[in-house]
Amino acid sequence: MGSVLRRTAHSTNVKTRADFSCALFDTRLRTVAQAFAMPMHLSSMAMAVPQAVHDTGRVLRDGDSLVFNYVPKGGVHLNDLVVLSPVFVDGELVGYVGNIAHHVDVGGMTAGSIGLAEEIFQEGLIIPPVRVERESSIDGDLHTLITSNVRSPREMFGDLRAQMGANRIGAARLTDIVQRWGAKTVADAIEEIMAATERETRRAIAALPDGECEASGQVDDDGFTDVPIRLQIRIRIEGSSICFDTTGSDPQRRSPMGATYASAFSACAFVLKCLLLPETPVNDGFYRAIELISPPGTVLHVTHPGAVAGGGELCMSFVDTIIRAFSTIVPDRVPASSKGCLGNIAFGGVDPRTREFYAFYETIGGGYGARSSDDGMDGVQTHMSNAQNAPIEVVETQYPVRIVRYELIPDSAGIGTYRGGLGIRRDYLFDHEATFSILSDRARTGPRGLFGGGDAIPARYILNPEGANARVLPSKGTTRVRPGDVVSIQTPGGGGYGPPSKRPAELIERDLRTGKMTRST
Amino acid sequence: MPVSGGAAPVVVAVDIGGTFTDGVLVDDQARVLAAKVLSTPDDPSGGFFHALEVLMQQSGLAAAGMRAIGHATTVATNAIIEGTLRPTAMITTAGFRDILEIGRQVRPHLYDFFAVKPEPLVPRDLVFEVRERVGPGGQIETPLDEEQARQVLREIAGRGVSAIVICLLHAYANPEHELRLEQLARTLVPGLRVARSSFVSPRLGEYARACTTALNAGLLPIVGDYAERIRGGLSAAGLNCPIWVMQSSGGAMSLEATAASPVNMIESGPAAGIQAAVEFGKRLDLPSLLTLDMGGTTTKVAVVLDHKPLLIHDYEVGARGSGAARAERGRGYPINSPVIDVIEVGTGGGSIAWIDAGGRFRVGPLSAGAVPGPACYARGGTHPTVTDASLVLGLIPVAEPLGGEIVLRRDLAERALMEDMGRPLGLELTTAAAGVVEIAEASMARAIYSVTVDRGHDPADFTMMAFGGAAPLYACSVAEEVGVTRVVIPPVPGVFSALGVVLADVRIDLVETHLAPLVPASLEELQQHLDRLAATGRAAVETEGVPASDVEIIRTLATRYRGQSGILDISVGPALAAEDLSGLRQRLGESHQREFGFVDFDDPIEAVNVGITALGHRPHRARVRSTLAQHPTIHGETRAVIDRDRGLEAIPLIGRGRIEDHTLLNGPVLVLDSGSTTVVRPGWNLRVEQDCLVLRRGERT
Repeated sequence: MGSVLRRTAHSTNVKTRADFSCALFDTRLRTVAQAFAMPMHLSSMAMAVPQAVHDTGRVLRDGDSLVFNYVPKGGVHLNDLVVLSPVFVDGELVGYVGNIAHHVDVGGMTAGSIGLAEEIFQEGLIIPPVRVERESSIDGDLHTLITSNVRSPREMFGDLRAQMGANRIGAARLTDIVQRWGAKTVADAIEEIMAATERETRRAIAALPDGECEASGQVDDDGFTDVPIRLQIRIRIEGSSICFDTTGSDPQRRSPMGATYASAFSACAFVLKCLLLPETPVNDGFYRAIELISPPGTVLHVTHPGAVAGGGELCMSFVDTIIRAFSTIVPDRVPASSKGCLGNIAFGGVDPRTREFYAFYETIGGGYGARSSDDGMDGVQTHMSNAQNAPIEVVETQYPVRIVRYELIPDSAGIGTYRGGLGIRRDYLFDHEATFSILSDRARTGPRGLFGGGDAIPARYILNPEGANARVLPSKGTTRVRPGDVVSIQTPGGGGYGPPSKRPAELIERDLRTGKMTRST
Repeated sequence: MPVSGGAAPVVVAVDIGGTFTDGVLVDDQARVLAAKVLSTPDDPSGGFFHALEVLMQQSGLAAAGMRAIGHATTVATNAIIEGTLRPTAMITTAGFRDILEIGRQVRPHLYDFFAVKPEPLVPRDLVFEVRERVGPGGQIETPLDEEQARQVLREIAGRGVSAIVICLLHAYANPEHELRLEQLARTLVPGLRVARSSFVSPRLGEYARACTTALNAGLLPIVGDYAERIRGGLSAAGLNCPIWVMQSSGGAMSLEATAASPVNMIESGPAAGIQAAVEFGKRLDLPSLLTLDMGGTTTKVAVVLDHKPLLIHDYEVGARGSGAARAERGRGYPINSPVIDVIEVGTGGGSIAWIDAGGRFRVGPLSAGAVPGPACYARGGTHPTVTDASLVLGLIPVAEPLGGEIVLRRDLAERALMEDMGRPLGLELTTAAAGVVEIAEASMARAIYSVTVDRGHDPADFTMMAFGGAAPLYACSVAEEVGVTRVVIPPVPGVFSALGVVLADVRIDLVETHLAPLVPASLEELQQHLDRLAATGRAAVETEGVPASDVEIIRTLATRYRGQSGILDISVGPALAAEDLSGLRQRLGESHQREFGFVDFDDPIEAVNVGITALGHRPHRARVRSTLAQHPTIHGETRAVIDRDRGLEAIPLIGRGRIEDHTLLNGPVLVLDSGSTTVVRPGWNLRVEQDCLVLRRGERT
């Protein structure tokens, strides 16, 4: 399914950056298997899919597919469209296949749908669970409605059709399996797979020391005021149970910096998986072993009509906060803070070559936090994202832009016994008028070091960095760029780990030689 | 056994693997002699000459009679995974010094807080920028700063590197600046070898192109020296015949051409085995094959459809310490030249069994290799391997020394199994041994699922062709596991890949990126590109000594619906400009339907790459078919455990030379071949067809 979706999609975001996830559900809509490259998608479908079917009381027939980007407890944000199809064998429902993909533009205030919204209505087209296919053919009216509301309709519909194609392949595979083994055997096997995962998860939790740990973290601002957003986590471990509690986190604001309950859950599940079960496949057995208390109306459980485009952004800081809490009980097994932002950027306008509207979206890597035995990785996507960069040659072939720099930023890491990874600088040059949106963070405080390691250098977002008219851009907002303008995105490094005085001499020498650090302390 | 008649031999081929070096000699009567010697990892050419010497001795022939020598080797792969590539410097476009450092900006493991990225192929202090810029259409936007280029080259001269990588943005669309840099390099630093991206791999995508070019540069000195040692040693032995080397694509090129583009021979060995399988598949009229190639260190699995191996143009090779040639995306270095699509798992005959921290029974990926080897080799190995377990179970009859050299010591295998596995886990000897074999088989089954089920194929639609010294022992059992009902053990399974080298065509693949809409107006230009590539390919194949009448040119357009990334190859005729566009559209549509399950009927289509494959057919291929000279002729009984539930039992043991064509034998039976044993499980039967053992499930006489 994943390979079909990736190779037939139209947007760079899906086909090159692999910003999607595929899953198989049983007849009770529990997640049986899930394949993805983005931890941000960990539980988004698992939570959204049962809401989309049960809560709407919908009866799906063979050949139907649902599409949606909004259910109350949420996926991640409106850009993520889920396509869900039931699978029937000999007239009998045997399960569902579904996939979620990030669409570059779903309408709203700015190209890429990541503008400074105060409520979700400004963020783009809200699609509740509706039938996009009946008897395996696409609903033309719905198609017209959706594509009339977005900036790159051709790309969007190409991706949507690829999502339906992927489900068709997934359904065919599930049908093969059921025909070969029989529905009963398959259902029994699924039950056992989930039970085995739950046993393994609980065993791993039980191996952690019992007790409580907590930490707080913050996000720079909400894009409207300079007041930082406070994030709070308390983790209770008792035997084979674990409970994450975000009580104490700030109330939600009229700002895109809010996360759905599902996003907050994904962040907790991600950290737990890294700590305990990196190789274990994800299914309902894993999810049901995790408890999350996140009071509604807070930034980690936004309620309608709160905006959520910055949910992923917020979760990057939230993950670092959860890791900081765990550092008090398993200090050797966690990294210092990583770049702490997704670094969403999007731009769009009218392509001077074709006179058609276009929209481009990507996120940019940065420094990974230093570890107890090693420097952090330089220039990578961290934690909730692992999106590949689009090759510069592909971006420039398909979009009217020049990328004039793509490089590591020397000295951007936090120092320490082991230093953090380096941030990335990526500069975009325009030859036409366009809007450029940034939805990011960490421009005020750099990612934090751990156990004596230094903090990293914060991010910088600059218009025309080389010229006399250089201007620092806010980490959240939209700028109109003119021909000749360059936007420079400079992401943070990772925090350091341990006292710098203990840094091995050969690592200091190596960094000076390669120019990654220009000073020895 | 000497070849009768004193006629000239035709071809010798040597295939160097991680543990063994295999050789075959095909005489003028098309008979095959086989040899297996231990590899010599420190200098692989040692194994090469040893194998050659054994074959010459066996055949009793003089050097003067040798007409050609074929070769497959892991020398390039080893340099990559052991991190012994020679130091190189890179020149790239200003602003992009960190292309290799950043790579795809992903971390190699999603859930590992301690993951590390592969080391960049050129360290950051040896990457230099020059001011220049070419746009995506090939237009020059900033001219090359030649003064800066000269400074950079002078700086590189003093840095102790042996090669320079030149990779500039959009050089696939216009190589002018790269060509100028190469020219300057040849003048200013004549001692350094140069790898230019627009020559090595002129395709869109700067990171993969830079890696491919950098790997080529790092390999140039290594493969160059290796080629000289081989050529020198052969000359000293009075052998001056042509030498060709198996390429990753499944074709062959001369030793000299290989030394100039070594990045194309990385998957030399695996490709050779699959090529041989394709040939025997044709003889048995079996178009769909699953190849199971099990050696000492790893097992490789590939799919053959319609008598053709699947080729991919984008793969990754393992970074240092990964132990396998292939790497998962983001964990190795991408290469964008054609390679036969193979899945490799770290389970081979020499894989070591161990107990992990959680008390779980594990096998591999650590291998005992050639040195010290499995415990039963009595060469210093003390840990139990898959081979040791099979010996203890009685699956490997001890009667015949392995490769005529190693006498297997059952007592040492038993001791290693009991000490490492049996006693710590409280298992009896037989149970421990059976456990090792079952885990190895499960790992092979998973590899098969990933080349079949994961790509939309049902294993039951395939015939398994099993080769490599160890595969015939486990093929039947793995086939049962994945639902395959027919298994073929080809002749000389232990050295089958070497036979593939003998059978390979000369082959050159040339691919260039030319983005163009598929409309009548663009066909003429695309045809001109194809014609130019075809002429280059034809000339190169003829240089390899293939007569013009034996050269075949296959032309391909890599096409897609506008906006998609899924590129599909469609073959086109020599007169593209005269072709009907609706025919091209229909072929793309059919291919899209097969691959992705649906078709975009309305979208415009475009060409991405043009490519040609030039094949030079080998006249001797069709003749390699007669029965081998060396079949064992034993006929007796042995005691073995072929199924844990059945326990130790008496099982007929029959030499390959004793089985008459078309006689049907019912399992259980063990068939002893030179260098391998085939296990025929209960419920299976066996017949000899076209020199192959053909095993079928569930048919009884």
